[in-house]
Amino acid sequence: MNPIRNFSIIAHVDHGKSTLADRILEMTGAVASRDMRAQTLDTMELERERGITIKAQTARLAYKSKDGREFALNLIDTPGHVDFSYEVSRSLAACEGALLVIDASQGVEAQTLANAYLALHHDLVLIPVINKIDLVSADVEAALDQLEHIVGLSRNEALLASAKTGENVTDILEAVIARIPPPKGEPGAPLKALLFDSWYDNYRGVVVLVRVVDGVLKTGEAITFMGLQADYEVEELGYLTPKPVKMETLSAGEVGYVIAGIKTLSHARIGDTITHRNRPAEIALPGFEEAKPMVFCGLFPAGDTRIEDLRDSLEKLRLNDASFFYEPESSVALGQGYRCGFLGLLHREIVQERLEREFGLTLLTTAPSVNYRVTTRAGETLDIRTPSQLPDPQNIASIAEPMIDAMILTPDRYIGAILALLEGRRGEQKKLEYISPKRVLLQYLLPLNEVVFDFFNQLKSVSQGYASLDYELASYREGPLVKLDILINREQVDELSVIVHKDKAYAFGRALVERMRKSIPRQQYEVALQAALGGRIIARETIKAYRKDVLAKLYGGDYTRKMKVLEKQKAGKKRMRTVGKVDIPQEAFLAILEIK
Amino acid sequence: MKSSKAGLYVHFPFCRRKCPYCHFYSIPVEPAVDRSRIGLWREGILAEAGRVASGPGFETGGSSLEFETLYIGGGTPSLAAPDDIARLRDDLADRLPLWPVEFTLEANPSDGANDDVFRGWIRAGVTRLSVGAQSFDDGVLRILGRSSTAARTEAFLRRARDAGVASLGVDLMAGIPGETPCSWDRTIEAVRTLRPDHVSLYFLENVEGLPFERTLRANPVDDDAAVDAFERAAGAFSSLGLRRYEISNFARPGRECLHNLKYWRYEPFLGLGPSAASHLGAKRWTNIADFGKWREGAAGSVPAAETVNLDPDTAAREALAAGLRLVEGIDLESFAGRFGFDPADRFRPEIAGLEDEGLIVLSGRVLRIPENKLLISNSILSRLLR
Repeated sequence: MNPIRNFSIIAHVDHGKSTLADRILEMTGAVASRDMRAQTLDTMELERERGITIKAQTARLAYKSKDGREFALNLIDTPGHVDFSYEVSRSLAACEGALLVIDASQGVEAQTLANAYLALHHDLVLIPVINKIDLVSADVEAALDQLEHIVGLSRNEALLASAKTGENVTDILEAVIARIPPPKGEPGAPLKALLFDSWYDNYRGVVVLVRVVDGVLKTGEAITFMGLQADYEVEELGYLTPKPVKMETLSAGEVGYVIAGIKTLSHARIGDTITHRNRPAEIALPGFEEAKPMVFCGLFPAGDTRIEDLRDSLEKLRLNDASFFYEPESSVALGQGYRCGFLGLLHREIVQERLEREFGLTLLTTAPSVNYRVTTRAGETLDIRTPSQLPDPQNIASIAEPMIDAMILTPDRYIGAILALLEGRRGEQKKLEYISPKRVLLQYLLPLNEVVFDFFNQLKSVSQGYASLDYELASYREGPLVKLDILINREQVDELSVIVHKDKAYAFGRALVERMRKSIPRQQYEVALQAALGGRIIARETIKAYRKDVLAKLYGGDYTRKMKVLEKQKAGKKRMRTVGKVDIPQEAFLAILEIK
Repeated sequence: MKSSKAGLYVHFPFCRRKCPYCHFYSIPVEPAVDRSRIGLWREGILAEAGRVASGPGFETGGSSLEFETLYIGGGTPSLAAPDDIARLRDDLADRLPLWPVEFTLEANPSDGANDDVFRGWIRAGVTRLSVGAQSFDDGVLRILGRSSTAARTEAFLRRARDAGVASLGVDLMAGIPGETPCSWDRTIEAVRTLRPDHVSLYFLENVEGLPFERTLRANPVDDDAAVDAFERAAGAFSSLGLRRYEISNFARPGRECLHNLKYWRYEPFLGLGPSAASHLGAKRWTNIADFGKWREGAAGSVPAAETVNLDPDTAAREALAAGLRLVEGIDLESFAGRFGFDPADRFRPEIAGLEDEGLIVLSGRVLRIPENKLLISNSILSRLLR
């Protein structure tokens, strides 16, 4: 067997990670040039469209070094967006080294730093790659300075390359074999294989991706998932190129896939250890913390979509994305639906888009919320994922909200605007540091609920796109939080309620109803929008009834057009929900996201 | 064979100049020097009429269709000489079963007309003039880009009446930028003094791509103010004996436009000329809006901008949408006779819901939208025809 190197590519989003992966695949002949398309490892339609990696992929590459030795390189791609950082950490657990890609025109950004820390935490060898050196705007010196000062890696270790043109990509592969150590591990020891990814294949069922740490795994063997204490038999194993290639064994140090007749994805728990049934390992590998949903929202069927369609689609989608959560939810105004939990806002958007595109559903989404921890007077602790579940205020002893540790990297000229934004979002400064003469690192403790309402876009907007953000869940903190209710024609609509800080409630209530007025079209009847705090009205807006919707004449040639107008009017209603007699469009449910 | 009474529309595709808000097909010409072009148009119309007459639906000895209304619209058909109109009508009657009980000619008052012209039109058989006044306020007319003045329009209407034109219709527009309660009063007052037999009152439509789009963007019109103006005018018309019979049309009883009623009653019509639409049997088509291409094809086949083969269900829905524009509504008995089902049965739950909200009335064998809800008939129809 050829010597092995297991490595990942990590980077801030858009720094060229997938392009580098493409180039490496191409140069090692894993993918023939004629089959080459951009973002080869991004197989999801959405990944290609958005130009992002959502799901990590892996490929084994045959590489012949300059001195003529043959290697098996396992490249494990990672997602770049902060929502999917848990995937990065899983991928890293299967590697001995990582390429840290930095865009020469952007320099070090928040996720560069976060991912570098993550890799160092896993004791990986880091190879810095300054990418996009072909760009006119490339500032290699600045990037190298930042590498030294911010990340703390020596500039002498860095390779300068362009994944786009292929310049110096061979040097990168040479560095991989020279600097990254071969995997350790004892082929003779009892089997320990780390399950680091899994997905559902429509033809094969559950496929798991493993890194064999010790021992040898063979086709036909009886295996045990140590965490779950479930037994299976290996039907097939092999490696991915990214296409699957069947093998008979996977030995210590190797990365590959295993198919073992596992019926549901929940049985293939990421981080579990696979061992032999007849010669089990004594201690399982440390595994991972489970990815916890951070953002919740309601998904309700709209238009012709039935609740059964939504249920079936969620079940199917979950087979491929075990990181989102859902439970039935019932709302007076919206009927039956599901409360879903996501890793972040992008993840929420992606799940919704996949449900609509891949399953043809029409959905109504409610505003995102976070998980609140409520202690009742009776001493019970409740997890509240939707404001409407909040118990009667009289029964609440305290409400705690999730806080995040946010790290923001920005050029110093935007610091004023960013601090103002953070203060407005109830941020608590932990650190403000000039890490280079013109770059500032900010660390803030922020309530997550302030971040889900359009924080990221605001940050980008006040910094003209230059500030970058990374965050992780920190703790729960008690605070004076209140429920703000919205009434439409004096009827409370549960799904429009929000939990806000007491001091912000008035301004927020006013802004919310005003924003909603703009997103609800005039109707046949006058519509009253009210915001209420504990039953007391604090703001009101009125939408006057419309008085005409016919403009056009109807003469000889106008019938087709007329019928189209009527069809359009009907279609427009599809995404609306009727509460009482009021048609509420999707935008009104998300009006909260538009409040600055 | 039972004959059905159809309408005949003829499109005259020339104007002196294009009005910036108008989306009808026309070419700007100077008729004094462009008589030959009008001649070409006349030849084309006759060729097209001849071809249609020898086509399906017409070949049986006793024709299945009879045209009882003739409507020459445009464009500005009043640019054609009265003699041309007379000859056209005679020549059409040679080719088609045309016995019009109503013959409408659209006229632009800004072009003026002397008594001879009016008498010429009357001799040609014109029974009805549809006069594009739009407004009786000079400021508003200027904003619209009309070259006429209120005084000219008034004089035109007086002369027409004096010359003995049987029925006079006036087209007006609500929702014009710059309209004030005061300017609108002038328009209503003019109707009061001039006593036309018929008024069409439409809201100004913002059609994408027209020069007027910019005017409207710079001077947006308040919807509510436009509706207020419309309703005030409608009230005034009714006190003048002009009964509303369609969303936007008012007439002295007996002076409703029979030709336009055919569109709303979903009766057959034939349209000749570029951009003209026809609906015969289960087929509806619209001629190409291109004078040259239309003329080339007139004798053989005119390229269609749109051809629709109407399945019974679509036809029935269209008939409902059209018929409910009328104050009289739809006679369910005759509807069922034509389309094979009773809307009161087919749309029972929708009708019940709309009735509860006072948006539709089902009384006896008639289904109608109450007059005060006609302006929101689109939402009513989209709920009814779900």
